[in-house]
Amino acid sequence: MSSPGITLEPARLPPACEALRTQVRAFLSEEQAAGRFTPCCDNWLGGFDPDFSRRLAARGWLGMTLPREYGGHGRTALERYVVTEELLAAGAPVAAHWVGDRQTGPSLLRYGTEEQKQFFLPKLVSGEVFFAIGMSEPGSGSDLASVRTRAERVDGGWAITGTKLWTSNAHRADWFFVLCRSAPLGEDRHAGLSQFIIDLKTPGISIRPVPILTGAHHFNEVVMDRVFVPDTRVLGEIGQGWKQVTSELAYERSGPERFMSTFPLLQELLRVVGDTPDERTAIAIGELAAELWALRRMSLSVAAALQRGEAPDVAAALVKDLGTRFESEVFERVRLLIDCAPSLTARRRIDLLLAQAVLHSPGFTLRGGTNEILRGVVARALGLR
Amino acid sequence: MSDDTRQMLLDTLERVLADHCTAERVQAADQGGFDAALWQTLDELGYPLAAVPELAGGIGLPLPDLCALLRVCGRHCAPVPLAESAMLGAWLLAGAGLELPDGVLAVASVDPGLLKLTPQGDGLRLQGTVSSVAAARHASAIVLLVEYGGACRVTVLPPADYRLEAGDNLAGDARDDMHLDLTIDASRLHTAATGVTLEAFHARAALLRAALMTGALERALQQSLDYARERKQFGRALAAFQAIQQQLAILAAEVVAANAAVDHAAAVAETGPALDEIAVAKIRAGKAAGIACRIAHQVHGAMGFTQEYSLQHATRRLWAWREENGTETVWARRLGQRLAKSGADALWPLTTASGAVAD
Repeated sequence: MSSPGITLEPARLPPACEALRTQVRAFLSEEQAAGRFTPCCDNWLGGFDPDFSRRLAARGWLGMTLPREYGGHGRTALERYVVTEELLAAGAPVAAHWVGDRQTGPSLLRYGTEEQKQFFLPKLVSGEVFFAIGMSEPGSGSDLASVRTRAERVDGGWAITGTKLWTSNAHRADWFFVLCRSAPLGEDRHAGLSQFIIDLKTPGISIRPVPILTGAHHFNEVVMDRVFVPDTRVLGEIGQGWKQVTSELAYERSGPERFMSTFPLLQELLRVVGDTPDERTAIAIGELAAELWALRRMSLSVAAALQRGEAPDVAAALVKDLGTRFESEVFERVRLLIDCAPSLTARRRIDLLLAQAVLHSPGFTLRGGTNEILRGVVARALGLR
Repeated sequence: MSDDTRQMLLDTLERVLADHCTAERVQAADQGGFDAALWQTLDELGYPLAAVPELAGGIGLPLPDLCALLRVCGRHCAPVPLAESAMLGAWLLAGAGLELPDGVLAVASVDPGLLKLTPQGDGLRLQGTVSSVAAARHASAIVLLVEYGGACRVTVLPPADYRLEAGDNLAGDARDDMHLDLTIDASRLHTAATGVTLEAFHARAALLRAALMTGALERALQQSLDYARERKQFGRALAAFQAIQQQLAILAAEVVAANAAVDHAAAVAETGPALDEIAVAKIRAGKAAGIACRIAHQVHGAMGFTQEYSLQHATRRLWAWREENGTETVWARRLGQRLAKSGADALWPLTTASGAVAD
């Protein structure tokens, strides 16, 4: 009997990563000392701060893995991992560049035309432009292949009509990567889908805020009415959209943002309870830290597999399932260990962080593939379906 | 040692255990038993020397490889004390420069206060009871680790030196209480290898236990997957039901998590102190054990609730082993106290320092 199920090769970060980590930490303590940001839970959704993103860009920490010929820094995926986890641990406002740095950059590099790469990538690396992604729709959530936004052939390009929902920061981003149906739905539901790159200032686009439970405006409904997209802004091949969006799910699903959204709260718990907590609290801290450390090892293993050129999409789905449940477990434990009054207007930091964590929590296990969908991916790999 | 040799040791163990560890033979060793024929085979193949340094005539496997061997043992629910005898007992003896006696070795470490240690003439009087010594009744000798005179000492006790009271754990593994009332000569107290403290020894034992648990977790997963594909209800295989698929995906994730924690702890422990990492490994394996046993039994229905069906060989071991060498609570308390003492600002640096390789 060999190992059943899913296996992960243990991974350790190469030494160069630790020097980089020291630089990122120094930068983050300067930023905090200067009062340039306040750590928040889930700040990769909520913390939209173009100036912060540009200061990161100035250090060479945006588009790190992109090749130098496109203005990138030619660093490894593991080096990017280190920068990312340090930013999340600090609760830094990274939302402005998050989608571009994580997804659109690699997508453009893989599927973009030479002209698109020359045009977009240097601006992504410098923090000059920011990106949003349009996948879900009012009628399409987990069942992404059912998207109804349609692209019609017109002279010199395509006319896009439809509605995208839950689009993070569409109201503040510059460009919008949209998955559309470019051919009628046939027998193969995954055929006939295409990706387009749309300038969010194009006539025919209207953007309506969809506040989340905190009342904050991050999500949007983006309505497109015959929005013109020139042929030069088709991403990849017409009809290959499904393959293009699903081929990079491992990048989206295994990163540290899938278990660290509530890390600032865990850290604040340690501050509140001091250096000699009661036994029950010490045990809870130990249990939460154990889960965090195990998740980090798993996430690093997936990152190392990606760097080796493998496609660990099943392992990534599994890590995201465990990791996002941990994000909620943190506040479920913390609230019972201390006297608390979670509120978005609280003066006490832990009450504020708790409120952020609780009110953001439904998103943890929905975004980027619900946990039920992820377990379906794992079940398929286990030969159950 | 070459990767080929390592792989050969793993493959051979896999083959031997696959042959030997039928459900009947595993069941036959229940209630404090032990598979002497299997031990004999492993002995002939040299496995009791796995952790003994090459200089002392052993194989000298590093911890990650020892853990890999134990994962195979756990997967087959092998009713032999390879961890205790080879990787704790023989390892302690070799470290103290002692000859290895023939047969199974049991091992007992004595925390201060557990035994009464009194200097007597040239020797040391030992009085008291060490409880739950694994495989004691099957051992040709018990290797005892005590802290005395400011150092860790190793001594070998032949059966004449102790009286056993039989006991077992939830899995039916022999866990005997050892009663001692004797004086041993100073010449029998040997200084343990450098770096061996009671704390480090307990941690090593916990890591090995967690490695065994990952094997039993894999076994519980495999059996559940097989059963879900074979068993039909409502005209379909259980595997076709989403409710079952979701549960088995959760079980698979627990197995991956426990493996990741154990692999990391073994890698770090091979090169230095790894108390935190071992804490994480035992906590994570213990948590996985509870979830895995619940799901595996639920998927198996009443079938898995019987002694004649072999799922219990894995699940009873998991339930037993999560209590041994420190429960999740014991290790979490210790890890949590240490992290709290280091302070909030050290939480993240300590997290990333684990296993980090400096330039």
